[in-house]
Amino acid sequence: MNAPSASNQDIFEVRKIRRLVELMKEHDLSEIDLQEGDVRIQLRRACAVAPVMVAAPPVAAMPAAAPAAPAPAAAPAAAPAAGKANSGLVIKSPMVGTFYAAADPESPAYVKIGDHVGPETTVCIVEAMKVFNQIPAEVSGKIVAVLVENGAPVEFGQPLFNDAAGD
Amino acid sequence: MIDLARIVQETFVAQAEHHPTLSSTNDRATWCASRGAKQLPLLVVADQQTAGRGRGGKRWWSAPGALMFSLLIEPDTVAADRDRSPLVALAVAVAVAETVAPLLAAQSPGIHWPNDVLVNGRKLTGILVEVLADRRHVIGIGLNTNNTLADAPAELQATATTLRDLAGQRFDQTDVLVDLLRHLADAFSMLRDDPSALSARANARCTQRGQTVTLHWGNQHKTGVCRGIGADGAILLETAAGVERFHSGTTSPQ
Repeated sequence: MNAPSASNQDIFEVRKIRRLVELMKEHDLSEIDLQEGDVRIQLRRACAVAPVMVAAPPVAAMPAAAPAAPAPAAAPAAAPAAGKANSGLVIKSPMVGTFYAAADPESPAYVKIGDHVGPETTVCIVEAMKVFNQIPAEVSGKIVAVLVENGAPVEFGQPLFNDAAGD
Repeated sequence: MIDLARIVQETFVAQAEHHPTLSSTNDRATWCASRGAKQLPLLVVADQQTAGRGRGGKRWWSAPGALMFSLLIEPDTVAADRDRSPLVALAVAVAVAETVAPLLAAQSPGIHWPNDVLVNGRKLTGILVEVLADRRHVIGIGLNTNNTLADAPAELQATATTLRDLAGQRFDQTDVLVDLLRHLADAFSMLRDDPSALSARANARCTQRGQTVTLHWGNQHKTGVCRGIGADGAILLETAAGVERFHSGTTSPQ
């Protein structure tokens, strides 16, 4: 990385790196390699899968993104009639399916007791017909209880986690 | 070699990336989503995957000649409210079956609910649909095209098949991919406008009808005679209690 020339840039770089690391963890990436102008950032995370370099430059790939922060994911809209699925102290299932605590059996659970979540934090998977839905918390707070077992069927509105607002 | 320009010109794909090697096309597509990819559908194709994912932590067999790719799409491409998202995997299975059917003179592809495409009882394709927190879909497809069982690991010898092995010839990968993408666009369109028509197409190709199957979900299972795929995409199993509908799980022959 190029040495920043001003203290403002310093903070900017640290925040950027922190956010990149969060994203890597969130999406279980072992490596990212980004270039913006003449600044290049390569981050490699120690993990079981050997990191693989993207050898060829992508053809007709996405335009060089200007902002350092990724585009914020829109909060998913709950069915209007039902209103917001999650409120206050309970995170509920927004759909019928099978609850999985982790992305796959080899991965750690998305959240455990004591973790802080934000509205866009993926807390679990609910699978239906082989479509694996990442379920966002939709609330902020700290997970204080996990209410369903891995692999259990869940109904629409069924409580999945208890969370305590603030901390 | 995959002709990306042709794909962008001839299909609904707005942007395309090709990689000689990737850990997983689904992971790459997910990463692009997290970086705010705007022009969708985005196609990510890899010649080789080192950590291609199947369901439940399984690996997808990667070999030269296999067609392995992921599509990142907006939720409204498949009218993905929570009710309809489950049908996306079925839509992909229908699209794959309809793409390969004309390529195989002697054999007919069948669907095992909800998203396995088999020929002669052997698996031709893997499909993994992952819905991100913002409801965009990552659709991963592995289609055994020009790879051959002769190169496959021992544990797949009895359960997998490839187009090359079935037809005795190789296929142009861009041709197959363009065709498949067109069938996917059609299937998604049907999913938006008339989901029961899509389920009917899947039902017509469902080779489990009349067979005893076991449905597994999480730690549970149920065995019954398959009575087909219902209008809402559910699998119908007849048990002692009558015909029951299920929306979740995977099937295996009894």
